[in-house]
Amino acid sequence: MKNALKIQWKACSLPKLGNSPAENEDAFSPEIEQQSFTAQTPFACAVADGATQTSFSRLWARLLVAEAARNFQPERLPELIAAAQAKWLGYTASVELPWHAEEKVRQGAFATLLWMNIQPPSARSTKNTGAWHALAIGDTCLFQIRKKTLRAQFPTLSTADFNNHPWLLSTNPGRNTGFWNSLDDLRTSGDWAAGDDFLLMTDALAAWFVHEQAKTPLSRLLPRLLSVLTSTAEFSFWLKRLREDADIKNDDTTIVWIHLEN
Amino acid sequence: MAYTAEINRSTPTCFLFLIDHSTSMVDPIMGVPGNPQKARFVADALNKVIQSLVVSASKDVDVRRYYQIGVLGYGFGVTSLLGGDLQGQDLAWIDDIYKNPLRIEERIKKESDGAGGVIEVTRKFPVWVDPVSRGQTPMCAALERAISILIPWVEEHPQSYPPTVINLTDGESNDGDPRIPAETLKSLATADGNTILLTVHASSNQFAQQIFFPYSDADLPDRASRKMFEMSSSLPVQMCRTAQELLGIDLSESAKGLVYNADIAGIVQALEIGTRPGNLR
Repeated sequence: MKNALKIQWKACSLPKLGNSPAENEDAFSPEIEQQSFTAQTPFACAVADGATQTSFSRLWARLLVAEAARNFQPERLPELIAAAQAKWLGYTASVELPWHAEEKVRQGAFATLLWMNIQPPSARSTKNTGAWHALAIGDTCLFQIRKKTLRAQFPTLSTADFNNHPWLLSTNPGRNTGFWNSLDDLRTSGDWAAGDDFLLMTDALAAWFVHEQAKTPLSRLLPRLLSVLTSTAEFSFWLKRLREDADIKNDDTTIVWIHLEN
Repeated sequence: MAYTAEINRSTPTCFLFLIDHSTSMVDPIMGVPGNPQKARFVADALNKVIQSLVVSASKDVDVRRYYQIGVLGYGFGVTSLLGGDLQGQDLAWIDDIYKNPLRIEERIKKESDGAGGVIEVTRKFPVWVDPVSRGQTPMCAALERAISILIPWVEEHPQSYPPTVINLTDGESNDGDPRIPAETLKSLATADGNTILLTVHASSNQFAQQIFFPYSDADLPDRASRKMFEMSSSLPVQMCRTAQELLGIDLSESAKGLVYNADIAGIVQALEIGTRPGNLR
């Protein structure tokens, strides 16, 4: 099919060791584990990481990715946030909360957000290439790999940067006003070609990936990573070993792999 | 590196409060007529701190077992102040603390209306501790009791962030030299560090200078205050950061965990610095 995106998609998300899957505060959309599909319209996806110290942050992360993957353009970020906030506030107002939870709801929930949009090849294009756009708030990262070489990382964070307090989106409208003036800094774009790989990762795995790249060539690192994405069980086993060896922070961990096919 | 252990349900931490119940605690704070009694103010501040700890352990509709809490009063002997189903327990999990206040009062608070104004709202105020001001100052006995509570605790939680003990007093021990049990208490350790002993001394004199986290005992006015300096632990880095945020003062880890002649704000700030869980996950 001409002017279509042929996408291979895999996603895995696991809670931190000691927590149940229901306590995993990472979220991704579309919520598909593995699929190959063809899209003739722009394809959008999103990953978010809810902050552990706040309440109902799993819900907040899920609302953000659902809104972002549905119909989002970076210019419309305030509207997206407002829509997710309205749903979050609607839910928390609808349940009877003990006093400690009421206080926590007043403090609000927080989460990172990474959104990515891949455009199909234009109708005039003779090559299987196109543009991609991304927006990131916080330390959930995107990596683009072409021919075993890192072509883009967004946001550009070093290993040390992952230990700082990231910017987070809040359910309290007043806490997000700083973002609206710096939208340009939160966005990036690039081009894709058939054969490219995109990896979207929450902070623990992204920090590991940045650290590993410094000592292992991508030609070895990428196949190693992809080989454990065959199933959630395989990914879980591999991640457990990394955590036991203290090679990775014990945190909710999510990876999305997107391969653009010929 | 010490004092970096993550506080979670697998590796919880412990806060133990020692509250001076001596008769002098009936006097107004800073000695100013009309100010609240020291005992009442300390009890209120402690109730707020416990409330903050419950909220910080709150996750959705549950309270997670991130901490164990103990509150010992010392005046006529040393007694646990926990009530309800927790009566007689030296330490209780934070979710059980949440379920067992002595009562829940409703208090009016002033809050921002979000548009630059201030509104009065009614908020629930759980009370776990009532003021008491009758008796002596058996500080050594209180520290000995803390030791007996924390010896098994550190054995059972070898990987945890170590216990924090906060001693709230307005005076001098009258059952011996508290530096001796304080040294033993501070020697109790997990793999993440030694037990932290902080001293908050409530002021009885409005003209006395408030001294926050001194580096040496040179500016302290008397023998009793210098003893408190020696008793107290050095501040871990996380507490230095919180102190910087709340008080705007730069501190290094050689600052001692002592607030001497604390006024109303000083008591509240010292408690917050001692109990804000920086490593909570």
